Amino acid sequence: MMGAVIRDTLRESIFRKAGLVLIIFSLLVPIFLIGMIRVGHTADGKLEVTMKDMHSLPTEVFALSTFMGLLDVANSFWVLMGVFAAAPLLMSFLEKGRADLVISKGTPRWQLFMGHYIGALVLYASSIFLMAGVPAVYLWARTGVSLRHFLVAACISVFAFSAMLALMSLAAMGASHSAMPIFLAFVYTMFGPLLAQRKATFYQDVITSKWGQWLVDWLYRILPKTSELVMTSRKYLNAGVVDSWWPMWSTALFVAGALALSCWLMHRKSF
Amino acid sequence: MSAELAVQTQDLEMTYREMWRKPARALAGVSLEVERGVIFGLLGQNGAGKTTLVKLLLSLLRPTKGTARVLGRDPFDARTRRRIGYLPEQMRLPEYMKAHSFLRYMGELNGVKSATLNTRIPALLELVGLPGEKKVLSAYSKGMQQRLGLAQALLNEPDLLFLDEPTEGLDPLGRKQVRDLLVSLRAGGKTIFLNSHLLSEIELVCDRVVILNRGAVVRQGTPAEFAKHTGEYRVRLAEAGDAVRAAVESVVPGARWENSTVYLSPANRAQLNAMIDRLRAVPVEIETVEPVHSTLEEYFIQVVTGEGT
Repeated sequence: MMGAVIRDTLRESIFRKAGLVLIIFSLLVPIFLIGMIRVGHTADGKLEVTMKDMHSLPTEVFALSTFMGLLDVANSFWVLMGVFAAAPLLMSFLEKGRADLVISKGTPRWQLFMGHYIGALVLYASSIFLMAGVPAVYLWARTGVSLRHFLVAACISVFAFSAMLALMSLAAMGASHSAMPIFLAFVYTMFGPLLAQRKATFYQDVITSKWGQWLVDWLYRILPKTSELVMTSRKYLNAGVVDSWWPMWSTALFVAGALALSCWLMHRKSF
Repeated sequence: MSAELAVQTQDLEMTYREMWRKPARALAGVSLEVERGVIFGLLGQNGAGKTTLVKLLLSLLRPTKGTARVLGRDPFDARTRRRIGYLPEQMRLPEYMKAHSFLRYMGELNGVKSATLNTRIPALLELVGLPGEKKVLSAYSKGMQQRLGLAQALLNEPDLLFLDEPTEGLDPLGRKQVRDLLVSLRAGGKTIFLNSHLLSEIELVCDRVVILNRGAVVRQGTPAEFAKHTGEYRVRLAEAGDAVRAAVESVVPGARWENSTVYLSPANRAQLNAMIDRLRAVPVEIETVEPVHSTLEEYFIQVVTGEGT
């Protein structure tokens, strides 16, 4: 039954403008990029890759800079579009008139909730792998450059979005309109990096009391470390190493906790 | 709590509590029992608590106090809800779907197998008068939406059907079709919980009726019990010219007239017969004599306005 909910969430995403824009962009980016990439050989027979009307670069350098560009788009502009596309999908089945139809059916409420969460995440992940994955696979096919680091980095990026989505889902349980989860996502996008750098940004002048600092420390520990995950993905793409696993497992704990709490709120919710 | 009953509630209370607002009590200790295989009518003014009661029975709301059992089980158990069909009053259909995909999704949510849906969906669309409908749901009229809503409520072949204003937006023919459908479902052993403002419809199809007023059950019985004899008799005359009217006035002074019909209010049947004998002696030609019963609507108005208490 959860499969039916996931399928319906994906179908609804195409109907909604934000979802449609995400899908259209994720198709346009690879078409544009692949159209720009020129693969050829130097006079001494070495493989060279270039963008249209630009200087040629060694294959490895070109691939890394392209992958990094795609990853940066995925971690910034794509998150923005993903938030707008996902928020209505998390909320639409809770709207008056629609909830009566769906909640009264024989599917447990937690499955309805998780189906919409997974559906929204599948939409985002698919768009990322279309937008970034297709040009990457094209480069690999034409030049033989390794995709391993890029794929792992893209997965970390999707994982960071799943944490953002879990936060939005939690907000959706108490909200009556999708504006609330969108607002929360943007607030957290702004404050997340500040929390990560709290000792340098807050503790000197703004929060000087021990209690205040203790509170902010715990807030940082509990909330997802999306900005650190973005840095981790970039680092992994560059060097193939993960400096610290702390942002990963603490964010995974947050996702599990937020989803469990959302399922419980959904179970208790009145319609 | 009996498993033989379709619906059973005990002291069911519901108070809506919202931040910054005074608590609003919607149900005040409702206890009722609905047997299986009947059409049960729920009557009440706007705000009487009808929709709240239905939502509690469907686990859309949690009661403040009291218990509810549906088909002998807890309505919060998803397996219970798979045996229930529900047509909400305010229904918002997903605009991006067509009738077939919408019904498939609703069926899947109720755990109906795909192969079963393949045969049942076209049959139900035919039944509700939407065969081969290809439009997206956003282009549906209110009547079409209502028909589709009815189809989705029947998709899992439910043992218990909750219908909130099922004939809303339907033309007279559509209403008749819905009434006939309800009667045939009852004949098939289904229980129907009908919530409607159209008292004439309730009167036509329901086996039992409950009247809710300010969140409490104020009356329950059969429509026949509610439609009591008023004590008046309707006497239809062959003609009611001035001479006839004067003759009747001389026998029954102050009688109420309606064209060629006169209403008599005798103290008992013997007095009625005496009145008729005297009219016949005038002579006044009588076509029919019939007792006047109050309609369910009249009874309902008496109850909710307190005139009948």
